[in-house]
Parts: sequence; structure tokens; C-alpha cells
Amino acid sequence: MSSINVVLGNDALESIVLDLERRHGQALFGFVRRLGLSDAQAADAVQDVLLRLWAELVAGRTIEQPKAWAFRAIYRLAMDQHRLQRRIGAIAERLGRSDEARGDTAPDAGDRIAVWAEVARLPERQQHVLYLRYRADLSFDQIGSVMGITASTARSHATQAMATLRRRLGDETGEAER
Amino acid sequence: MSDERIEKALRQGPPAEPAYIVQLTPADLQGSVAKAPRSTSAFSLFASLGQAVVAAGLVVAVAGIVLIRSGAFETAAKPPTRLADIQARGVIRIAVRPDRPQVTAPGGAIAGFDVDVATEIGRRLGLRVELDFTPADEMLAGRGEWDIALPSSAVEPGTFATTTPYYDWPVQLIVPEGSTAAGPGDLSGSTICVVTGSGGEAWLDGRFRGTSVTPVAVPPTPSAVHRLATDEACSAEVTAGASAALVTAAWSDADLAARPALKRVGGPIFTEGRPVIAVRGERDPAGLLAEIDRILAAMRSDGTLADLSRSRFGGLDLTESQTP
Repeated sequence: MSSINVVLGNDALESIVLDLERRHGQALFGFVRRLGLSDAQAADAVQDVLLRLWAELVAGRTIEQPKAWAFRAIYRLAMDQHRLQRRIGAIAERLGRSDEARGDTAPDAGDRIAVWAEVARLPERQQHVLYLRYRADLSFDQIGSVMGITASTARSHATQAMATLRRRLGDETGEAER
Repeated sequence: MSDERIEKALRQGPPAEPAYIVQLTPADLQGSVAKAPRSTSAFSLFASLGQAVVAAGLVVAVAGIVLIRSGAFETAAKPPTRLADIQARGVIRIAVRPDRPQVTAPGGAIAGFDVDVATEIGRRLGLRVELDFTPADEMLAGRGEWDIALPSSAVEPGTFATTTPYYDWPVQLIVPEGSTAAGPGDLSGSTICVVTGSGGEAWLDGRFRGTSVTPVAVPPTPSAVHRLATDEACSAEVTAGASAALVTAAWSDADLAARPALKRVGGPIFTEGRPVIAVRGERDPAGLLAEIDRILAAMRSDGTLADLSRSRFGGLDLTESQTP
């Protein structure tokens, strides 16, 4: 897989991108939403990244791990967009405008609600690492690459986050697990 | 909570995360190489942060000055129809129910017939789709911020504007395998279980006013009606002998085949026409629903609707007879 674009023709490259969207579009979308983008912006971001990936592949660039590449690219896009939104927000505020947030309506219950409510209380970096590790199923090496940190730092964030979750969720249910 | 449960919940993802709708096609890829991405939001229209900030600042400032000078904050002209409003926005918000005919796949993604239909409607309108997973009773109470909804249930005329039904669901009367009941009338004097708010409940109460492509059977006169939340709960009642029958507006033949202790009484007691709905409001939804009716007709004639039905309903085409 060291030169995927040399070995494979356009049809195969096409299937890589489409398959990536089918299998990991939801996680890319969910991840970038957690970075502060609206639903529409997040969906746009996923498509932008996939189209960029496609353009890179057909241009002959070697991309050994398309999935990790996509997460890295979308993380950078989101960071840029996040900064942009903060500055636009400040301008809009001066003009007396405000943005409205939309509530989520998707259903679910039980452990997911409890766990993700606690995840939302974690420091942002720990939240991102947990999402990438468990939801997107990336290795710590890949997470490090996505977020621009070392693999050991990513692992450390995950360990601290899990310890916090374990403590808080154990406490709230009256369990004594450690 | 154990690590295993925490990790499982993490893998499933946040419960309130909206579904991402897969949109790219091979044609998109082939057409994208020499062009900018097809995204419509401001997000992708700027090449760099610096350009974006300058442009956004100018747009907001100029717009603000123009609106302030014209005193137009309250009186700015709005698009004249709901369809035009949605087209101007570039996004259509479509409510679909989170349960049948949807399914929840491992990992939390929701997929199913209505998701497919909603996505295709949006695609043919040339709009981005925002799916809003809302229980049917909430939709039918008019709650939620959606432009159109697919409640996948019978809709009584009046409150909502509706399209022609895009599929028809056979509502069944189910009894234990050993029952001698041959028709609804044989269940008069018995306890019957039904899901609250379903078309079956309306039928049992003698107030069904939705559309049906098959004759509507005369309902029995039960001694009692147990109104429960799900067909599974009713099924448990029937299996336990607490009810003699249940009316289901959600189970398919495949669902019934998986329950050999139960059987259907005759054919469908009625076949519920299921339309797309829009709330009647200050802006007339007639144009919007007329456009969606046109799209549904096109999907029917080119086979898309039938294909979606067959792929989601075990090979059955429930879209064939859309007219009562």
C-alpha cells in the first residue's frame, strides 16, 4: 500500500473515496461537528475533504492511509473554520446579530447518554482523542498525526479521559469500580 | 459502569449525533478534478482564513449598513412561498421517524426506507437534506422544526397538507397460531391490543379516516382495548393470553415469519396510504408539496421508489398502488 495511486486505476481510486464516505462519513461528520461546525458545514467539510482526497489520488500523490489522511485534513479545516467563526461572530455581535443554535433530536438512551454527557465535560483535547480512538477507530499514532501531537500524548489524553469517565460514571451509579 | 460498557457507548457515538447522508457519486468525483468542490455553504468558498475573514467582515458590515439605513430589519421581503423560502436557504429539513420503517445499524447510524426517500427528494430538489429524527406522534402534533415530514402513518385530512401516498402499508390483525378467528368479526367480545396513536388504533375505534388502497374491514367490537407503546409489547400480551389479538401497522410478513407462535387473520384489514406532510401555516405549502408530488411521480415512473421499497422491505414493492 505504499504507492496506492500508482498500483490502482481510477476506478479503484474512486471506490476508495466512495467507500471511505460510506464507512467513515458518519464519524468524519460527527467529529467535525464536535469541533464546532454546524450540521451543514460539517457535511460540506466531509465532502470537501473527500473531494480533495480524490484530487490528490488522481494527481498521483501517495496516500498510505486515506482514512487517517481524511481525519487529519478535516481537523485542519475545522480548526480554520472555528477560528473564522469566532471572528465572524465578533463582527456580527458588534452589528447586533447573533446566531441560533439548533438542538439535536436524534434518539437514544442508557449508557450512551450517560457516557457522552460525561465526555462533554472533559477537556476538549480529551474529547477529541476519545472520539477519534473509539468512534473513528484510529490508532494513537494516527490520532497524533491528525491532531499534531505525539502518539504518547494522545494515549495519555485517552488514559486520563477514561479514568475520569470511570470515576464519574462509577460514582453516579453507586458502583465502586476503578 | 464497567470499562466495557463505557467503551461500547463510546464506539456507538454520541446519541444526539445527526446522521450523515452519503452523497458522493462517481460522477461527482469524475467532475471534481478540474473544478471546485460542489459545496454550497460559505465554508468551502474561501481558499484561506485571511480571505474568509476579510470577506465575511465586509459582507456582514455592508449588509448591516444597508439594512440599518433602509430600516429593513423587520420588513425585509421574504420569499413568497415556502418552496421559494427553502430554495433560497439551500437546505430542506425533513423529519423522519427513528423507528420503523427505519432501522438503527450498529454504531448508531439510522437507515431505512424513509431515510432513502427523504434523501432522494432532497437530491432531486437540488437541496441539501437535513434529517430530523422525530417520533411520529411528535410530527403529527406539529412539533419540530422541519419543512416536510414522513410520519409513515395514515394522516387524517385537515391539519396537514399532504402529498399522494408514496407507499401503502398493509395493516394486519394478528392472533395466536392456535386461534380459530377467521376475520375481525370473530374477535368481537375479546380483548385486543393496539399501539397508541397508530392507524390500527383509529380503525379499532371506528375513526380511521386515512386513505386505503384495499377495502377497510369492519372493525370488531372488543370487550376491551389495550393501548400499548409498541407492537412487541402487544405481542407479549397476546402470547401471554392477556389479549386475543393485536393490530399492527408496523410488522411486515418477515417480522411475522420470525414469530411462529403468531399468525395473520386473513388479508390486510386496510392498507394505509402514507404521504409526505407539511404543516399548513402562514406560507402556503401547496407549491412545495406539488413539487414533491412531481418528484415522487418521477421516482415511481423511473423505478426508483420501487427499488428503494424492495431493498428495504425484503423484496416487496409497497409503492405500486398509490391511489385509493
